[in-house]
Amino acid sequence: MEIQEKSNEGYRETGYISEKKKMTNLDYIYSAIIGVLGGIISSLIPFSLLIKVWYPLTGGTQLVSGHHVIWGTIVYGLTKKKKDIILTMVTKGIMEFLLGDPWGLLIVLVNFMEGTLLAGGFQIMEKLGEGETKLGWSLAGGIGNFFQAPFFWIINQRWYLHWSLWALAFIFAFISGVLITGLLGKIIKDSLIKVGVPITY
Amino acid sequence: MNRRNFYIVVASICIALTAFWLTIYAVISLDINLFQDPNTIKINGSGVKGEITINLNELKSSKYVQIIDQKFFIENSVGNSYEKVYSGVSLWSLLEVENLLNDDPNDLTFLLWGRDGYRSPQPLNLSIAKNYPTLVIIAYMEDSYPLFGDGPLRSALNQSVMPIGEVSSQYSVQQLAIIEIT
Repeated sequence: MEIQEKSNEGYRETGYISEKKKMTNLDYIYSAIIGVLGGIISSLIPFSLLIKVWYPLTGGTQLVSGHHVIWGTIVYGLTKKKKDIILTMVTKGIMEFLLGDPWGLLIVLVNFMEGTLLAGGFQIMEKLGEGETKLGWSLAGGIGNFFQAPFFWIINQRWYLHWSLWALAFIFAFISGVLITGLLGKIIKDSLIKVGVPITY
Repeated sequence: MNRRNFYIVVASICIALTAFWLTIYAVISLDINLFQDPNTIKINGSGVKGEITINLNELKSSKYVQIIDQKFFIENSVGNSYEKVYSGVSLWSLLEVENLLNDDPNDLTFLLWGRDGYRSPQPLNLSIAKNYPTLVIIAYMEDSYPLFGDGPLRSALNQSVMPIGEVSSQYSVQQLAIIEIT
């Protein structure tokens, strides 16, 4: 019996990809579309009202802050490229700056840092074998979203506020990252793939 | 339930309980009155003759000096400036009409407290409110619309009246509840 050696060329790679991949045109297009969309939505829709109507303390609005970073999660789900997260977040930051964010150009740096930490979060989760689980995405989202609370509270020099308000803001930022950036981001990514949005990995 | 999910549930419960008890602790420590009517403002402290509570309708009355659609230049802690248009009542007018002060304004200070536990960084000398009555106000409208999420009342101070080193964004206290005069 003749044994034919089959080439892998006709097959598509699946699962976690460790080697470096070049950015494709579609990756750039996703970054541009999702980044601009994220910049507009995150800037103009007052999500904080969802919290202010029922939670009494300052810093409570961190509970919805995850919407700032969810765009990075969605793009990562479609492209599986960490560079794309950072590109999307920087695009979103530029959009927020152009829409007149009170923090000026600093908002671009904030978005860059959030994107970098989200990418780092995914890197850690993949190393731990949680790259495709809900837990892994949630924790990566939590790591990505955590940065903004301490950053803005420190830059605002809110030393005069009670320590418990600081602690609560940080906890809420992490919870929001877990629930909105990570879990909701994964649900949206799965839905987009299910309805036929092309993936690039 | 497998062990992994059990750990996830335990960790989630621990975080939720921490947030819950920290919230209770903050409310008690900061002496926040959760039941204060948001449409009222309280003026208290050792610098006034007695505590007074004024509601929004009274604040809007012609009894006090009303500032309509005044531009406020606000600066934040990274030095960016932006413009806001507020309508409200002059703080100095309020103190003067009610004859609240028991000392010279140069010797008194005011500290602003929000319903959400936020407070302005430090007490400001009350002479600021006296010397610039139209630039230190309790606002109830922004761009001619009632304040919603940040209101119904908030303080608004123009950057030009701020002491050196202080930025007006930190003194623009949303959900303003108490003005403490000492």
